[in-house]
Amino acid sequence: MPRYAIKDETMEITALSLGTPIIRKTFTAKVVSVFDHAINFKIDGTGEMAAFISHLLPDQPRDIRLDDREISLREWFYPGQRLDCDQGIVRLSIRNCYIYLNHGVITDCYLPDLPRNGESISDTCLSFVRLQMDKAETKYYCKANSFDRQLHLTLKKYTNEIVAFLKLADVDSAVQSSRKLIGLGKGLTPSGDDILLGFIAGIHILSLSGIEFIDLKAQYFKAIEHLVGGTGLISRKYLLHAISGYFSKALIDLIAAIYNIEEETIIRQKTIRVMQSGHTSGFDILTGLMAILGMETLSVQEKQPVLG
Amino acid sequence: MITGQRVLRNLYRDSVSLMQLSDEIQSMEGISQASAIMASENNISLLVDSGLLADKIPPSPNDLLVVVEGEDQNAVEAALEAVDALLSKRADDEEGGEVESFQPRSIPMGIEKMAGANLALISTPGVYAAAEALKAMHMGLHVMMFSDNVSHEDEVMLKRYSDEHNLLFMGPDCGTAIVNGIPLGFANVVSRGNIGVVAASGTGLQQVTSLIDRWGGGISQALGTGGHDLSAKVGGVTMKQGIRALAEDPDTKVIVLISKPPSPSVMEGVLKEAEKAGKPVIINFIGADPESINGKNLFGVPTLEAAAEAAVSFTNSTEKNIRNAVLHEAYLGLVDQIAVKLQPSQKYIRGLFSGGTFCFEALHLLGQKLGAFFSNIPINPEWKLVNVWQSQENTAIDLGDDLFTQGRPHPMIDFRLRNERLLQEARDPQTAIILLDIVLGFGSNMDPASEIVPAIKQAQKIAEISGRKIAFIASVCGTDKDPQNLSAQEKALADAGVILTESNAQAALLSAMVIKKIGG
Repeated sequence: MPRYAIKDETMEITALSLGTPIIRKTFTAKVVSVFDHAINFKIDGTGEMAAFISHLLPDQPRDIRLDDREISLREWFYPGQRLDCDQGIVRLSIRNCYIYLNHGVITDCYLPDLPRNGESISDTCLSFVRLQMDKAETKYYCKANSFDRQLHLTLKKYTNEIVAFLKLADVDSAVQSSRKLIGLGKGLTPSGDDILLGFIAGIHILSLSGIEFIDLKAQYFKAIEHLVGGTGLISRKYLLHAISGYFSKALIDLIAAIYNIEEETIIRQKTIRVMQSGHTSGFDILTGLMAILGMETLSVQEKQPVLG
Repeated sequence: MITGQRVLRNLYRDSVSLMQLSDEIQSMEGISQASAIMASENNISLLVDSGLLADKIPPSPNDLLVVVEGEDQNAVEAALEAVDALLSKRADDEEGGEVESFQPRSIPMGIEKMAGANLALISTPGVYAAAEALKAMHMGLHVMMFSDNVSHEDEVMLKRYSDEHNLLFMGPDCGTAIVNGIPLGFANVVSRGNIGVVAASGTGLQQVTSLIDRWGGGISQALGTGGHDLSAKVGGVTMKQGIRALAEDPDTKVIVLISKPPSPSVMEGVLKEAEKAGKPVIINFIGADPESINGKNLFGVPTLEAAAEAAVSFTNSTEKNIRNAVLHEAYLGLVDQIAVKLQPSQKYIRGLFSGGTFCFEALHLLGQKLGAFFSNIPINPEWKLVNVWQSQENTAIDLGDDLFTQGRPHPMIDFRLRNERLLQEARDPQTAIILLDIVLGFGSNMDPASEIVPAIKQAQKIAEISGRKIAFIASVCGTDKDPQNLSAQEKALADAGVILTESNAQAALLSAMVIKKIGG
């Protein structure tokens, strides 16, 4: 059926922001999946995953946000389609459509670069975020549906187990429990994966603050890389990006606000922004993040907590 | 119970779509549970453990697994057969149909399709809303911005631009307006008339316009300003724009202003603008002393109902009525009737509101009569609830607050959270009165009575088992022209034993009188 964006015409789209500078180079790729607001593609040679996302979505790691106001992404892309990028200009096979990447602003979605004034996380701010989350938790699991209740209990159980094992620097046990979270839950990025993503963010942050977490981080992250096959392609992509230090801008903005001890209204806004991701994704990511940030320092050698 | 499943290979849908799919299947006849979930190994194990899958199936995490539990085989098969249709329907909705029904995807496209349009209603995530609003205003459109989470700086910039270009800017966070007789957002169907309203409050606007309609008056225009307009930073720009527009409108004879009390500097500016209107301006700054409003054509009133009544009486050119905040004679007889049925342990009011302004107005009235009243939006910081999920003594909750609405529809649409809280209050032996607001109109639930009455009946049973009787007192905000059928809603509530008053203020005052009667 004819549409507004008639396919015989040439369509030019600009990138508004780039989650990575790599994409400005020359590469070829293949479209893997097509959604209403996102197109995932795999780069030939490196196998790296990236995505074109609608201007309506917030910045995500490795994602390229397009000015797609005049088009529907579903009309121009299809799974298996080839993409040809020559010095920042992407051409789609079969379609007369050009995507200009060079004007896109590089969005800083890289966690280690987050702007912070303080050296340590503010406890007051963490408590405030937890308060928002406590109040939100009931609504997700208040249904009488028995599967939802069981899911909630299972997620909580393994979340607590992983934190307890990490506190004791027992990485092997933490990995075994993490194996139970992979792919567990509802949604395209299941809750278990999002909680793990939160853990990964938290562990990155603690190692930035100079806590002796470096070895544990390396061990745990390496193990998680081998677990990601237990979940779908989209979630897998975000977990691997997370291990490399890439997260959504919304999450990084919240973490920066906590570090910089912003006022409650700002932290509340940024918390709500994170929690608006997906259905429960934002909430689940914060669950994992808060669980790790709540850990006190630990002694890796002694394998017992220094505090608490 | 019978279970069934389907696997859909390599099917990608975002999380919200999957949730909606699950909900739609679960609502089908004969179905007790449904889940649309990725077919990962851990999900499959959990489904088997919870009895939704009979046996483990090979995991395939990129595939979508739909599992269904139903009363019988027919119900389960019907539900699974419907999955394809539901998924196709969702895709078709996005792609549009024939050329004639294509959906514009930008403001220029929208104007091209609808020549003569002069108002843009912006409802995007807050971070994009300012840019869209500017685009609209660049093209000469007035703006109603439903979006919230827009920064104060952007709001100031947008309103300055609108002022410079003689455009009306309603919002951000403006959910209610009636323009040229057309309800926008959450709004009621009211008669056209000669009363204009400017409100920094959605449900405040709804209450006033509905009561005006009920009492024989009509609305010329009802404009929303958004929640922050009357802050010191923003300066009441939209309220002043609205006053000027209504002052110049030949069809408007009386103007009503509604808001929480503005900052003093802003109030001064707004009242100055109102004085220049050349028409009577009735002002309800909720919670403020009406006597503090002085001006030759300015009339302060204590409640939303008083604003409506004053406006109607001014347009009728009969005796100008300005009502005080007192309980109507018609309800006085109910006080003893309710009080006599309460047990000694029952001492407190528990207000569960879907409208923030209704909660705020009730808190002021109840606070004046009874003292401390706890809330998530307290009028005194000392009365902030320690835990919003647990009432303390006299409590009134705004369930439309962000705390309660993240990731779920507003309580005017989705009654689940309020119903759960209602049952929780019913279990508390100290609960004497449960105070409610029911809001009709476009945007609201299409049958609120059928949503809440079962919970009320269950609550009554819970109380009865312990030898208690809880009084349910409510007001229904709406008109007989609203799609929900006002009289049917009121009848269903009354049949369930709910005591109905004509307005939110009367419901609060009645509740307060009962508590005072029993010694509270």
